[in-house]
Amino acid sequence: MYFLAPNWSLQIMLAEGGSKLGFGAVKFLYLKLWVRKSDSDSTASWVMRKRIKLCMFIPPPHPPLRQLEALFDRLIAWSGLLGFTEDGSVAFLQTPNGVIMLQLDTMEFKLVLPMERLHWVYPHSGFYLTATATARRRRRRRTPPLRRYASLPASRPDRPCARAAWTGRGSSPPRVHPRYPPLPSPVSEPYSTLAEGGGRGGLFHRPASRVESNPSYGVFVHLVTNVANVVPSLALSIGCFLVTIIKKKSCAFCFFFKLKSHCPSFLTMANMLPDDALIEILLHLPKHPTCLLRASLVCKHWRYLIRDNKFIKRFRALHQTPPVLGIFTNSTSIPRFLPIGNPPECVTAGAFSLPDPYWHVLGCRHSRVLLISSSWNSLQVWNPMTGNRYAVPVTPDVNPRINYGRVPESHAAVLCAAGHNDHGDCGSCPFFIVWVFTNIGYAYISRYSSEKDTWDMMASSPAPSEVDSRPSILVGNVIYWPLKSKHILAFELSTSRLYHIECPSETHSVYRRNVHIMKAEDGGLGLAAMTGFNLQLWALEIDSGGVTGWVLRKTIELGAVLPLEVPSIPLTDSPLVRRPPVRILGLVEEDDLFFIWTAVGVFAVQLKSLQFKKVFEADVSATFYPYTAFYTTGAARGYQ
Amino acid sequence: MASGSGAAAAAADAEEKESGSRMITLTSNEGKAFVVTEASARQSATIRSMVDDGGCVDKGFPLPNVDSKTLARVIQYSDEHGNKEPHTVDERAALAKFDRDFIAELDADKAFLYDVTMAANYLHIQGLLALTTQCVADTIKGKTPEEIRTAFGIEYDLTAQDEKEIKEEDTHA
Repeated sequence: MYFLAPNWSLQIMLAEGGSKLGFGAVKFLYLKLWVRKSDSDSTASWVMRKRIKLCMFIPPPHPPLRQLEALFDRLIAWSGLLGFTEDGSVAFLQTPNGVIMLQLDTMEFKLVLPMERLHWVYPHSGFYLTATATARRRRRRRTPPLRRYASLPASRPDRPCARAAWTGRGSSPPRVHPRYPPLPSPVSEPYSTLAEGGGRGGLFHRPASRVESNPSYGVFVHLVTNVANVVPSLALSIGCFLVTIIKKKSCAFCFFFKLKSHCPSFLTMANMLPDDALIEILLHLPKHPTCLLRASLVCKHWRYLIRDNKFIKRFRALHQTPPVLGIFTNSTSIPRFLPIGNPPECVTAGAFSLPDPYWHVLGCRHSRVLLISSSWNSLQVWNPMTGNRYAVPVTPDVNPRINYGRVPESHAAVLCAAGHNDHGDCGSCPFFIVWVFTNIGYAYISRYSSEKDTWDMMASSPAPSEVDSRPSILVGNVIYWPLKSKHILAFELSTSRLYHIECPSETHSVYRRNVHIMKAEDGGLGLAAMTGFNLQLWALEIDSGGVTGWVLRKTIELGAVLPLEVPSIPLTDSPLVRRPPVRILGLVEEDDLFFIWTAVGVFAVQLKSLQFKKVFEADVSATFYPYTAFYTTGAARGYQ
Repeated sequence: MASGSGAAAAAADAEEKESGSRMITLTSNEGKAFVVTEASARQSATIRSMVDDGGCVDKGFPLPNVDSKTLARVIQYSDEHGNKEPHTVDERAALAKFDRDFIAELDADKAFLYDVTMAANYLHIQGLLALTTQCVADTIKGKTPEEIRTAFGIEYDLTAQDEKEIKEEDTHA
């Protein structure tokens, strides 16, 4: 047979509950299990039943990608099948890190003899009874000292963690754990864990009396819950012993992680947390990426857990909206990027520095920033989290040659083109740039698709005035831009319909930059207008008669909310006071967070909870483009 | 058991099952038995699935991973959440206050907090797990990697090469 090549490592086993002959073989990166099948016409053949990847035995954290190849080479060179237990349920494998014991039905495994290089093993299994154990011990003392035995602890019954008992991380290194006595030397007292271990809070086996009174407390933690239902009257215990002729180092289990023996016990308890509990803890860290970044710098294992794509997906799902990392501005008097938060809970501005001062920010959405050159002839789509930059020429429709020698009044927005609902992880998705421009009473939409790498004219419609420089807002499937006078331009992405909506008449006299389009609480179109110290929140609603109209939902008196020193200067209506005392600088599209300028500084205000925080002392009055993103660097650049 | 009384017992059993007022015995790893209501025990997804699968409810459930002290505390939580269903705002507020006090008490004894976290993880008590893990996460929050290592007794195992890679990758913090 083709697989009986000399470099295969083969062992015969009992398969299918002992009813059939089987064998296992290890070659390259797989353990394959075969079973002898008899057909109805009495012909017999070998059938492969299971293929197990040996990579699963590489303990985390995994090395960088380029070292993986070397690791696989070692794995191929050093892997072998050492044997099975009599019933064929447990396999013993040689790996580069030592001997692994693998439960074939549940696929749980454990490093049982680190640093060992064996050719075969003879596992011994049996029920655990005190009398026999002591008898064996007596007998064993007469055996020649050269025959060494190592007990194979399955798990510590009174405090293992269900999964970790086998998979390694949760299994405590007994030699250094201060709370439990060390594994007795296998040479001098080969059976002492069986006979005495439990009596003094031993490592792996309960004392016989306990086993008899609580028969279902077995050795394998997993088996306890499953088997207890079936054979509760049986004391389950498997003591497996390896016969080896090679010198044995008694450094059992120091493999997965090290503990400092001088640490107080609660520290080691923290270290013993099984991976799934640790993941739960890390999931509950604040969503600001610096928290995750710092946690990922703790040790290799934490880093491995945090950089896992599944973890990042769960983290995003739990925290829903990405955190605001900072604010881009086009101001010449202040830095172009202002991180939000107090150190160390804030990102470094250096990672968000613009390519050069001649690029202007048009907007941020779905982890990307849309930039335009100062001459308005080229665009750049930039993802600060990954560092990716994508250059796009502006739409040919605004070429000055066909537009009376000038670029018409324009604005543009970037958005993810993947069409999914959760935009927490759009770093690698295709994107659209939607360009709007107005020319002689008409508004036009031109759209760039990164997949097609072309600009397409999508729609045109009469427009009452020109498009303004304030940023766009995406609400559902519609992008809204403010026009310079009293109107909002709307572009439906799915139908390519372009139309305009008049703002409520009450807002017509409000200072233009204090009227901002927003997402209403119910997810529809909303409008925020600041008059004096009052922030009015409007929503576009359809009444029972099918007529669409603006409704004033809420008025927030900011004078009562923010710690403002009430100014003595007259507020509105005075032609001398050109600039209102409170201004909206920007808002976060997916949140209810507003940035509001006052004479005493810039505040970030949550509209629902009315919580506020002063973010800048400086007299910043430029338009804010808040940048929101989850931590993605590790996932984007690291191994998957 | 005689067949007549057996049938009666089965009927009573079924009735009890419907009303959810069965009592369930949980045994800690020290062999100490704790009798709790089914509603309380059902806070644990692990026990819930075993009860629903028709497991040995009468014989009780041995919990070899949980010691008596931890189990008592876990039961205190699941009793509060399982036996009472908050309907009014006041009841919800009372439950929230219980959670706050519960976790504040645990927070004072970190070793015990980790025990309860591990038990909640093993028993899949989602509410308790969220509560305890949030508490541990709060202690990580705002700490530098070095401070986290000290607090958790973790050995620094990143090599100079790793650090270099990290610095190249993560320029944001």
